[in-house]
This record gives sequence, structure tokens and C-alpha cells, in this order.
Amino acid sequence: MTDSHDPIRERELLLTRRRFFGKAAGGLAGGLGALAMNSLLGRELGARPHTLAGMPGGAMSPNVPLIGPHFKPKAKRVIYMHMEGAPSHLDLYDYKPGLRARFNQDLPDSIRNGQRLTGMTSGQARFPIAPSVFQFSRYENNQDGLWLSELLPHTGSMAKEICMINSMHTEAINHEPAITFFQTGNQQPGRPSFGSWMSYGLGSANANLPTFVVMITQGIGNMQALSARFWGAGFLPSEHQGCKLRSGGDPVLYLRDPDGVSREDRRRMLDLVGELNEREYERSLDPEVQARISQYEMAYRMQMSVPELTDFSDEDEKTLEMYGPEVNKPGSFASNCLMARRLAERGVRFIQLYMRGWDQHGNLPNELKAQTNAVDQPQAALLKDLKRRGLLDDTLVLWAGEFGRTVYSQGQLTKTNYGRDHHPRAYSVWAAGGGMKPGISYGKTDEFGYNITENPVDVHNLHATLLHCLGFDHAKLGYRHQGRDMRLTDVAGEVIPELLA
Amino acid sequence: MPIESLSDLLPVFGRMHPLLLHLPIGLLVGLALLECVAGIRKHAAAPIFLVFIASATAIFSAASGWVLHQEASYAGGDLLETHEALGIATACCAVVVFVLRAFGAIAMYRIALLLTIGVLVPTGHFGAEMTHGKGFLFEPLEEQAEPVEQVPTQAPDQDPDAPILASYEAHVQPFFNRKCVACHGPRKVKGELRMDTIEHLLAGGESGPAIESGVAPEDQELLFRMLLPLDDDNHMPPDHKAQPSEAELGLVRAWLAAGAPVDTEFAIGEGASLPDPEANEADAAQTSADPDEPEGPSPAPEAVLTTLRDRLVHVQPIEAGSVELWIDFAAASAATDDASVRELLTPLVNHVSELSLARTQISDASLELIAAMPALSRLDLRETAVTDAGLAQLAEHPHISELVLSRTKLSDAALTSLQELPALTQLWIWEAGFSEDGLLALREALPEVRIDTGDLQGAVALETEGEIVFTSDAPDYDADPNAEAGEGSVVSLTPINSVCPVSGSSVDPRYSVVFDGRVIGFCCPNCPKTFWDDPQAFLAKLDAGASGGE
Repeated sequence: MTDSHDPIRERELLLTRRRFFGKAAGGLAGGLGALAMNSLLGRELGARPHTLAGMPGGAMSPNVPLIGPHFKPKAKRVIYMHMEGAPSHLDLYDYKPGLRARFNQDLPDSIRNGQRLTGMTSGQARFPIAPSVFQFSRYENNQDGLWLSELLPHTGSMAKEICMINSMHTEAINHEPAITFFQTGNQQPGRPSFGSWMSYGLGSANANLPTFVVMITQGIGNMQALSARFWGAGFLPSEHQGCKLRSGGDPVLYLRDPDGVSREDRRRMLDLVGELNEREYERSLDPEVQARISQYEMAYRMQMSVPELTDFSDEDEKTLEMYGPEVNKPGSFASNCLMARRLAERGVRFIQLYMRGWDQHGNLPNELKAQTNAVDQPQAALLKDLKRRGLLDDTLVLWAGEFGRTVYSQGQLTKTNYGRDHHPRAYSVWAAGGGMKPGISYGKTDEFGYNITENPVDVHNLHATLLHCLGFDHAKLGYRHQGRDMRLTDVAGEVIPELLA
Repeated sequence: MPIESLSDLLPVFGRMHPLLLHLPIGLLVGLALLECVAGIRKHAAAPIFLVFIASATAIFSAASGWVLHQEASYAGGDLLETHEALGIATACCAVVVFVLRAFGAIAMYRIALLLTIGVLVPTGHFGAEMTHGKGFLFEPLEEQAEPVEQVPTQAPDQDPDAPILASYEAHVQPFFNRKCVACHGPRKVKGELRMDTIEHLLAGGESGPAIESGVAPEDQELLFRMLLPLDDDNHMPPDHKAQPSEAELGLVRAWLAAGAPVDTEFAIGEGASLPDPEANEADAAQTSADPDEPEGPSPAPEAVLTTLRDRLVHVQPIEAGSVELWIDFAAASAATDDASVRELLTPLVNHVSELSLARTQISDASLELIAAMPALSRLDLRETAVTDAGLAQLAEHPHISELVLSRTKLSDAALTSLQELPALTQLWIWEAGFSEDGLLALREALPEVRIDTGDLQGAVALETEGEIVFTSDAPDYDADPNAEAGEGSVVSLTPINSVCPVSGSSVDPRYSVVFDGRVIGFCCPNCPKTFWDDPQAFLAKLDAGASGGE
């Protein structure tokens, strides 16, 4: 009984078989070995990905989901806008009018409560409270209204669709570990990203395009490093890693065949390479070879599908206008939002937009104005565009940074300017569509926007809830690696039913 | 069951027989081949270790087989006896082979080995016949007589009050064929009982006659076994096989009550009905296929799904284990027209639950097929050429609840079709060609339906806070950030206590915290940290001090 769950034993068995067939292939039983191997492959590799009890197996084909939802999903795809650098919840979403009367007061120790700070402000003599300089307005939602900063007027028009979470908190206090945590459920690098888990779990709905697409917008403000492992597949087969579409030139490198190489030549070349890879796979049984074969085929099909995808000429004037003046500038947030809608309607499962430049340690009011100016109209347009096409119901939209920002000013505080340091204890994110409850606010922070006072939501719980919308029991979506069943929610996570429609 | 002694494990060892027996077969045959090659090429004999393993596994196989036989529930008849005798003989031969090899009598060892193979082959053959049934090996060469399907002989214009008649040939034996004969038939004879002909059935089996004259139907072994609780060891058919339906049990009861007639018809009881031959067919298919498969509607044929996937059409069950499908033509939209929709979806017409044909080249012609999809609940026709006439075909569809018609070429004439969809809950009609008046009428006619027309209103705030004024009791630090905190800084934070609740020293107002609406003072910056570990305890101390009168 326990034998089948003993990873060391599994490994030994696999190795022994490989060696055996490797030898057999060279000797008397060569033909036999190859035959037997062919019949083994299906079972061996089909069995490999699913190690948690009760999960179905599947083929390696990119068009067949490996796992498939456990129950009927509300959401079929995800558009995840990650605001890299951590936008200030106090200047955008968490309305704290009481702070206006506390300008430049010291943050009471009872609020900070000895909590660790980053090295950037831990040496500060004082922690003066910096109320937001931005006016807030209340927009109609399905509760008593959603307060949003004057920086987000367009987003306000979609308040009825937005599920605002004001009580998000995270573990890490610096960008790299915090983004890694938000993307993979663990601060240490090496786990698969959310998108990779979805590629693995949902499979592709369009074999012409990658299942997991990443697009990046360079920000206006202070920018942090953005590494490709944020959309990496970790220990999952590498075809599940995110495919980054470039903003300049061809969206994908070498999209066009070189001069003198016809489409037929390309096909014949791929057939030959595929045959050689197939042979290598039979010899080594390495699933990465299989991943490579399917990626070559994907690349071949993308030569046709990507130019059609990135050509906005079939969009009408009014739609382009809705996304704002930057829509025709490749790589802008507006352009990426429109691209996200085009990818969604073509069946791409996980679309991730990174917007950089939210790390306002100083000069926050000016930089934040420029940042929100770049995202507000496009993100609202994306929601509207999805909605009128009947796509918002089954597309889960998520807008999140890796943490929030402090209520006290980093550096000089004046009535018009201040900075804010990293703040993981409380911040705001929002979701829309895809089975999340529309038009609500969830969770509360104290009058300083510093500590959560009601309904805290941690990253694992958010992941578990999002997975629920996508039809997965987060505790069952797993992959055996290094002797352990790994999950996006690791060993934690609870679905928050109040967030579900 | 708790394991108390090694002998409790003995039956487990017996049941390992089907596993163990393959080892001596493989090893002995392999050894024989090796020795043949070695004999011809004048090589040395195989290592003694191999011969030892072969003999040892032969003994273990024979021993486990013997243990298995001791289990009373196992019955195999003559076949078993023969197999057992030959198996023991094989084990003995293998021992002789080993001894000869051990003493270096290579020539005799090789001859003995070949003789052992001579015994091994029939042993294996009889063993296989026990498992798979007699004649299993040559069965593919035999001509299979197609079983004649018997259709119930019930005239449609029969008097409804007349008793329903059944017969052995048309009903009882077909039932046996469906649920019993797989194990009690010509191929497998479990419990020495065959049920494929009336003669065999009357002859009975290992535990006596299946049918006796003068015994009540429920006490006849045949029916008694079927009526035992499912978890009873003697229940038939075994609990993992398809079970007889109520109608089938009633049929057998009536047949036994009538004295098990073979040539005459008999009446089945009032209120009873004949087994549904179609349900039975499905059951029969299940019995012969995987017995562990749960019952339910048949899944879509895998070959059809593969065809769709080859054409880049996305198809997947709407949830794990469901036979209903979500089909999306997103990747194939440019190449999808009415002909391909008809070709690909006709075989799946009963399985489609969610269908997206958005941005495809289809026209009204496809709507006829779509209207015939009974399980369809969500339909996306966005940016297609469907018109009013096509939509009219969907009218009265009982299950469509979500319908996307954004950017289609409809007109107000289609509004009536929409009103005739009884299950409709959500409708998307952005740029679908409806007039303002038409929309107004539609909203009035369908107040319960969420209608999305894609109106793009700008943001209208319910209220906006007034001009922002920063006020504070804090001093103007900007003037001199390095200045000592003056008197002003603690005006709003006058502690309620004068003695630090942690240390007992006098309070320095600079080290105050706000707790529960009260400002509590401490003597130094460290005491508040201790306070936060257990505020209530220190508060109690504070209150006690206050009431005690300082």
C-alpha cells in the first residue's frame, strides 16, 4: 500500500527500467526493447503528473487537459494584472478620511506594534502619518458604494463588477520574495507560477497559441527587477511556462521565416527534427524532449496565429478609443489590455499583464498620478469590453500588487509630497468576473490602513478561492516533486465563500 | 482484520499465486533457451544461481497454488485437479534440475530441463483455462454464432388489463445471458454451474440444484442467492458486477412460481413489468466491459473527440466525470463553416452543454442542428452571420439559459424568438441590431433576464469628498525635523494613568499607546511591548490600581 507512495522506490523503479531498456535496445532484444518501451511510455508518463488520489490521467498532447477541472468551473480563463512595485492602497482603494486630521502625527506604537520595517525606513527618527493627497469618490456597487481615489475615475465606472478586497496581507516585505510568493505560493524561487499551474490543470483551449501568455508594460515610476521565473513552470513540464510576448518588433522572436525558406521547407525541417527528437525520447524517456517537440509545433502554428492576433486593424474606432490614446503604442498598458481581450476570446487560458513602476518610496503623488493615468482607462475598458462580449462571466480578472505601502511617510513629508515604504500587513487587491462576487468590498483595516481589523485574506486563501472559481479543489491540484505532492497553496489555503458569486 | 499470527497471512500467500506463477514460467523457459544456445555453441552452462531461482520460484508457485486451493470458496472441478497435479510435478522436476546442475551433471541437467518444460507447458495451459475459460486460446479461430436477440412478444394492441405474459425463451434465458452466463457458461464454469441452457441449469452446481420442485420461489437457490444482501459472500451476481433490476427479479420469481416452465408462457405479477430490453442491453455492455464503471449516460465516443481536437476545436467535459461537453471553436474560427459544424457536432448532439461558435463563418443553417441539442445551456454566436430566421429555430429550446448574440445581424423581428426561450437568464446583445424601442420592449417582456447591451456609461460618482484639508495637533516638524518633541506633541495623548502598569514607575507621556479608546502611559519605550503581549492582564492591573485609590 505504502510502496506506491514511496518516491525513492518510484525513482529506483524508473531508473532500473530505463537502464534495462537502454541495454536491451543495444543487444539481442533490440526490437523487443523498443516495442516494449513504446507501450510503456504512455503509462509511465501518463501516470507521472497525477500523484494525488482521485485525479485522472491524460495524454501529453497540448490540446488535451492533463487534469481538467474537478467540478464545474465559473471561470474558464484568467486575466491577471500584476502591478509590480506595490501600488499604494491608501492613495487608491483604502479610504481613510480620518487620517486627514492626523497629518504629520507620529504613527502610534500601538499600531506598528514593533513590527519589522525595511532597511529603508527602519533608521528613520519618526514615522509621520501621510494622509493621501487625493480626493476619494463613492461609486455605486452592489453594497453601500465603493470609495475610489480620484486617480481611478474610469475604474469607478465598473464598480458594480469589482470585488474589492481591502484586507489582503502577505508574508514578504521585499519585492522579489513577495512577487515570488504571490505568483507561486512560496517565497523561495523554484515553484511553478499560478499561470503554469493553470496551464497544467486547465490545458489549452487553443492549440495555436500558448496556454499562458505574459506581457509587460514598462512603468513611469521607480522600477524593480522583473525576472522570467515569475512566470516559470518550476518543476512542472516546461511547456507550462509563460510565453512572453515582446512589445517591440515581432511579438515573438523569429516569428517570420528567413528569406528563401518557404512554409513547406519549414514544415519538412520540423518533421525531420521531430523524428530525431522522437528517437531521443525513446532512448532517454526524458519528458522534456516531449515538451520540446510540442513547443516546436506550437511555434510553427504561432507563425500564423500571432500576426493575426497582434494586428489591431479589425478593431473598430470606438473600441480603440475606449482603451485610450496609447492603445496603438505596442507595449503600453492600453495595448496590452486590448491584447488581453483578443487573447481571451481566442481561448488563451492565462493572460498575465505586468505593469512596472509602482515602487514609490518618494515623490509618490506625482509618480502615482502618472502610473494610474496609464492603467485606469485601459483596465476599465478591458472590463467593459469583456462584459459586452459575454466574456466577463467566465473570465476571472485579478488586479494585484505584491504588498501595500506604509501610512507613514518615507523621507520628507510635506503637504504635497511624500513617499511610502513597503507594507505587507494590509493592502487592497480586486477581482472581477469569473465567479467572484461582483460589486462588493471585503475586509477592513484600522483607521490607519495599517492593520487588518476584519476578514483577513492571505495569499494562500486568495489562491484557493481563485482556483475554486476555476473549478479546482486547491488541495487536489498537485504534482509529485522530490517526494512530496506540491500545490500552489502548499499546505495552507482556504476558500473564502463570501468572495464567491 | 488484525493480523495475529503468520498463519493469517497464508491466504494472502495463496492469492499471490497468479503473480508468482509467471516467474518459474519465464525463468525455466529462458533457461531452456539459454541451454539450447549454449549446447549448440559449446558454451558453459547457465550459472547455478539462475537455476536455483527458477527452482525456488517453481516451488513457491506450486505451494501458493496449493494454499489457494484450500480456500473452500474456490471451485474449479477437474481442471483444477489436473492443474494442481501438473504444478506439483513441475516443482518436483525443477528440484531435480537444480540438483543435477548442482552436481555438475550438465548433460542430464539439460535433458531434465527440457522435460520440465514439457510438464510446465500443460500446467500453464490448464491454469489459463481455469482463469479465462475453456477454449480461450483458440476462440478467435472459432466461428461465433451470433446470439439471436429476442424481442418481447407483446402485441401493442393488447388489452391493458390482461396479465402480461412472459416466456423462458424470450425473457428468462436472455436475462441469464445478460447477467449470469459470463461466469456460469461454456467459457467459465464458476461453482460448477452453467446457466446457458435449461438442461445445465437444472443439473445444478457445486452446492446442489439451482431449482428444485416443490420449493417456494424465494427459497430456490437460484433466486435466494440474488436476494441475499449485497455484502453477503454468497450473493449473486457478485457485488462489483451489474445487478438485476427489480423487473428482472420479478420475472425470475414469477417464472419459478409458475414451476419454471420452458415451453409455455407464464403471467408475471400485477403491477410488475417486463424488463426494459434497452436498459438491459446497456447493462449487458457494462457487464462485459469494465464492471467498476458507474452507471450513467454513455460518454461521447473518444474517436469523435479526437477528430474535433485534430481540427483544433476545443472540447472537454464541463466537469470531471461528466458526459456533457464544453466545445469552443475559438482556434478554428476562421475555418469553421456550416458544413464543418454539421460534420463535427452531429455525433455529439446529445452531449453539448456549452457551445461557442463566436467569430466563426457559420450561418443560419447551423442553427437547426444546434436547436436539436437537448443539453445545451450556453450558446455563444457572437460575431457570426446568424439572422432572425436562424434564431427563430432556437425558439422553445428548453435549456438555453445564456445566449451571446453580440455583434450579430439581427433585427427587432428576432425579439419574439428571444421571448420564447423559457430557460433564458442572461443575454448579451451588444450591437446585435436591435432598435431602442425593441430593447425597451424586450426588457419589459423579460424582466428576470439580465440583458447586457454593452452601454458604455462614464463613471458617475455618488458622492465626492470635499476639499482636502490637513489638520493635525502635531507640531510643524518640517520647521526643524531634529528638534526635541515639545509639549504639543502629547496634548492629544494624555495618559489616563500616572503609574506604568508594567514596571510600576511613573509614566512618561511620550511613551503612550492608545488601547480600546484609552490612552495608556508607560515609563519607557520597552514597557509597551510587554503590554502588547497581554493587554488585558495589564489593563486589569491598571483598573485594580485605579479603584484601589492611589
